Amino acid sequence: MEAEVAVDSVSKRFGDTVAVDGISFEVYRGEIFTLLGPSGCGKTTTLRIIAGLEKPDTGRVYIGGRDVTDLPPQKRDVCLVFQEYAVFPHMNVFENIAFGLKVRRIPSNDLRKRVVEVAETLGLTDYLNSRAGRVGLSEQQKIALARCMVVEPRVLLLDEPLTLVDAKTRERMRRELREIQRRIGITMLYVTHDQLEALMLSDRIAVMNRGRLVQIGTPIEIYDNPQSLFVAQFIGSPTMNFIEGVLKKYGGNLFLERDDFKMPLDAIAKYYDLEQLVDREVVIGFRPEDSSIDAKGALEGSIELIEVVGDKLALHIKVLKDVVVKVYTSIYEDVAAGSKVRISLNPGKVHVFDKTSGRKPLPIGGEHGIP
Amino acid sequence: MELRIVSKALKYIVIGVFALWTLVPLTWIVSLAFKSYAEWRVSYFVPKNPTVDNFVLLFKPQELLGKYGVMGATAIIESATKPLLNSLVVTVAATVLSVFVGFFTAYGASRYRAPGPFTLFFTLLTRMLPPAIFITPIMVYYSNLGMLDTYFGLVFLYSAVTVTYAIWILKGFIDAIPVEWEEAAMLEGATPTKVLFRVVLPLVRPGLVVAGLFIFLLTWSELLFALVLTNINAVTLSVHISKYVGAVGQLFGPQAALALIGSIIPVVIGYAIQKHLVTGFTFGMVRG
Repeated sequence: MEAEVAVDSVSKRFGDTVAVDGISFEVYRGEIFTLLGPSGCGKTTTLRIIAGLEKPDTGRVYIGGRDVTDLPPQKRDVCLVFQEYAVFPHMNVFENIAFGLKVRRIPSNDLRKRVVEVAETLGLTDYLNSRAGRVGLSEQQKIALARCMVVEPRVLLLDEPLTLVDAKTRERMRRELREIQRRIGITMLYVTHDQLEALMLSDRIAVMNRGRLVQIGTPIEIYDNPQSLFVAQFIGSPTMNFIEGVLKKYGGNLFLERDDFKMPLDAIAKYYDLEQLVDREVVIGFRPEDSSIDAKGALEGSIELIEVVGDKLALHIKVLKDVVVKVYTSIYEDVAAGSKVRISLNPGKVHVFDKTSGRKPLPIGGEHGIP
Repeated sequence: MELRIVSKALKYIVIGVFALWTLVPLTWIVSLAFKSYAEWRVSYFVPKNPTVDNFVLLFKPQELLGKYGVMGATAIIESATKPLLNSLVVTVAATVLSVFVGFFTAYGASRYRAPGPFTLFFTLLTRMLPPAIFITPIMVYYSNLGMLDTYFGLVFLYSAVTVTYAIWILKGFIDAIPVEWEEAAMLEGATPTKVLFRVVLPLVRPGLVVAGLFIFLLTWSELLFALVLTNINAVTLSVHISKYVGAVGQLFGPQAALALIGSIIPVVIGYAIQKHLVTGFTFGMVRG
């Protein structure tokens, strides 16, 4: 596949803070690529570097195979939709959308046609004569998108464009965005801190933390196979369950041990090379949907709280004095708060991380997917 | 209940006193401008025989001397036409120049940080000294450069001393413009020049109006510099007004008439751009 954007070991510091720390990635033609991470992780800085609004300290940026590191924003053939201040308040909607064409001196016939066309695609036709500052927030974001689409950039950059619109509209616009992107086939580089948005919208996600890229993959890979404790903690709602302890080996069998708590890990050892972690502090992680109530389960605990979540029950089960895990079960399951239950885990979906490094041991036989 | 009436009465008394304080001189000028010679020195406001002579004679200096030759004027006072035009030309030119330079300076100061210890604060320095202090060196320089009594000399000085107001007023307006608007424009293909003229300039228009009016008023009514630096050719209105009463005469009526004409122009301009002024003064408050 062809790389529309290539970022090659780019770093950027502001004073003493390293905002972006030597990151490299490629965005392929026609995909939605998302930079995902908590605020301050460097995702917006990375986007601004690609847009040409910031200059990287080191590293190169390529767009469409061309080195654009030293080019000003207007010569890079990219366009950026901002989170806020999307429209020019001193122009009406038509003039807003036409702005990029006007500064390029596109003849007015052609200009009119293109503006109307984009307005139609985005459902803005009715607003063309309104003052841009007067229309709703979601329309303003659409106008911002239209302004970018009309100049037909090679890559569309979006910096948390849906953060400010209300939850319901956000969901609708996410779908629309996805649908429009499919239809016109434009390459999108999307920045968000909202992991659900990233999972719903993206073809591929790059998770960032503290200026570094920690994992790149499809939404399913990122969700299903987090390569580090950080990604495991960051992705998923509700969050993954975690149990900390020391990995011990007794008579050929592996256990997670903590005080008098002991959990056999042999089933999981089929998937990971756990030998290297013996006698080290580890963190075991599993998602609520990958665990179930089972009399033969390896984990035991008492039910603290029962929540009805749509068509299922979320059980908060205390397995250690300071560890409560969440387990999903059928809404018809006969459970009572305070009762003791056993939990079994889907061994293929349990993640083990080295607590100090936050990394995952090597998988056995590549069954767990390659990073 | 009574207390409320008393406090209300007190409020009106205070407001009334202030109103008198500001309005009496104005009323006096209006009244005097329409009074005939006999009434100039009497203290009632409404003229017994209202006349427009004072206005007419401003532009007919020969008749002026003839009419009030004994009591009022001892020398020929030129027609007011030229000073009016001079003031208009000088004030408009200085205002435009000042706002123009101020806009670019303010933009630079708002968006970029200059190296070294020089901050925008230093542009205020000239405003901290009494103008009387630096008018002498300026006169000497002007005299050597042949800039005395010229439009250029006045425009140059006026724009130099007022540009700091333009900078500070406009900087506030430019600071209020989110830099994202400029960045978005750049990414849509606009060069920095186009960003400046198509995005920033239209957005600070209210600021340009506010700064322009403020500087116009300052320059229009400036007396000291013009008095020292002009003689015949570039005499401004304020200088000319001062001539009617003083060494050459006691022409209160024409002086008031000319003062009235001189204050009409700013009032008319202010009224015409009222709408912009309101947006101008409230700009920056609307943004959340």
